[in-house]
Amino acid sequence: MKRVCNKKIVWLASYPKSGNTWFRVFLANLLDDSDKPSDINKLGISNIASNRDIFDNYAPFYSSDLTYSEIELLRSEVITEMAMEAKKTIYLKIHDAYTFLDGGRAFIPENVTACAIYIIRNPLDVAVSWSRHINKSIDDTIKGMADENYIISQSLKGLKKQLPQRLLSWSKHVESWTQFPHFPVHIIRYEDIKNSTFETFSKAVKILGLKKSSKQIEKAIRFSDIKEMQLQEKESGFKEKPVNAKTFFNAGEIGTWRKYLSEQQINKIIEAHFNIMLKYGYISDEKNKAYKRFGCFAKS
Amino acid sequence: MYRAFGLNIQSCIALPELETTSGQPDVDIVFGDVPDFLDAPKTKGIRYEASAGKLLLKVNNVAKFLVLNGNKIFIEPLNNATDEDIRLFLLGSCFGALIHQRGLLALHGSAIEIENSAVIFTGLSEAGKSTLSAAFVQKGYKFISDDICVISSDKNDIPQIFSGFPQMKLWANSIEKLGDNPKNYSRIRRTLEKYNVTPNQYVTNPLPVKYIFELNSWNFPRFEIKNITGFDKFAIIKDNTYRARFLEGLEQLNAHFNISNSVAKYATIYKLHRPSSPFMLEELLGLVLQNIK
Repeated sequence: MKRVCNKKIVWLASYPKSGNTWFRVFLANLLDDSDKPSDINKLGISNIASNRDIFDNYAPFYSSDLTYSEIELLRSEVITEMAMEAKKTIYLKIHDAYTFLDGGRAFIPENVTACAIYIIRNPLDVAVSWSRHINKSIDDTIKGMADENYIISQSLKGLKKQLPQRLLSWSKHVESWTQFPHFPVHIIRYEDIKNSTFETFSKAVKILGLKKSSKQIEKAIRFSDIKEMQLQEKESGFKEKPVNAKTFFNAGEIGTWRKYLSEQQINKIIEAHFNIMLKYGYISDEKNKAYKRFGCFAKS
Repeated sequence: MYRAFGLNIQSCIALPELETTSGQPDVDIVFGDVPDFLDAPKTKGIRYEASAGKLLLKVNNVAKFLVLNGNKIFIEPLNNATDEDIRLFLLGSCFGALIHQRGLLALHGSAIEIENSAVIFTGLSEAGKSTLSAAFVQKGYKFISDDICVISSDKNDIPQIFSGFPQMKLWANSIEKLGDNPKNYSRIRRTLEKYNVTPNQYVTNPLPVKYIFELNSWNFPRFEIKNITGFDKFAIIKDNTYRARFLEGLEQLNAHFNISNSVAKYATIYKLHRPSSPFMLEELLGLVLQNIK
């Protein structure tokens, strides 16, 4: 096997339901540069780093015989091996937080990482979308988002398609990816993708070093429009949708939380994630003052 | 002396999962010092190094293993390793390497007997191979092998599967799906809710490999079955070869191709998709039977 060791991995990182798949579908369309939209079930770029089959292909043992901690230790080596063999850039979606293993080694192998795109979305909207995705109540979802030991896809009695992923809390997830890596991390706000799609995607394309014209970017944006993704999901389903979720591609509107969250739920989220929400503009200074004064926000 | 995969095995470590036999050993398993590295390995992967006739495997906190020439395995246990853990990797990846070294085909899957022929269920972890096989055994079909299916071609170029050993590795929720209670069984590792289940009926003689079903689960609420033909059969065999990454370093790619060729010529191969949830075990079993002529 020829090993072409290089910094081959570009991480597409985010907390779940933050626009990662949208970005990935956009990127796949941009790289395909076809005259019709890419098939969402056959995207030309890799799926997700936590896929069990990636692990089982590269590791010398099957994940089904290993404990969670053994898998976590080996996953880093699996990603390195995958990058060493890759002939071109691997765009790899990831929801795991940027954590450190015992001994201080980063879980994400830095020596094979080129850079990361980190997508952040208002946790109030994430809570609504994530609760639908995992088919749990909003209260349970909020609890999970505040839990610093939150691990998804963990099943003690059987196997899941994806390996367990350590998310930490929503705030710690953001902090982990934006503060600790020694490689460049370009932060994108989901709301900026939504409000200024062309500008936001163009900047990301430039940062990724892809030489694409405005026309090509515009076409990829058109082909990855939510309506197109919803249409494809309606016609042929989407293989990444959890069985219990009704659909994967929901409207993805900004501010859905206003319709679905109670005042108490809103306050719980803000209380748990105050500093990060403030830093990324999800609560304003004015609201900050109000929060400090009254300990809560009115539902606006 | 133990017997599995058509081999007589002499072992320094007790292998209670295996049948016992007598005669001359084909494989000798001994405790001994195992080096940290191989001299000039042909390939190096994660925790393993390989060259012709040699495979070094290092399992953290369990053991270092050296598998030689298809007939010898050295084990150097590491601190606090339990026998269960050593056996799991010995009977898994180490035997996978040993089978490759002997020029045989090792498929990742589970096999049962139907009308004097072998039916193999292969596929990724989580596809339902062992559960489906256990469901057939529950219906009275005979068990052949779980996890590794070892195949050789006979003098007429017909692929023959050797029985493995009478043990199915089932997760707690698979046992529950089969209407049983995991508490009735012992765990394969203390830390996993995966259990050793001994099948009631077990085949001991080699059988021709007539059918291979590659199982896949998906989130669509329907089954789909496709008869695979031509060159695509090789892709199924290659994709489901047990620890296929060892082959290149062990210089066994040609032997692998030759047996794959005999399997591709003789066996009917299907790609079968099932809804991931609910499992629909009875329907899956019916679909398999419908497609066996």
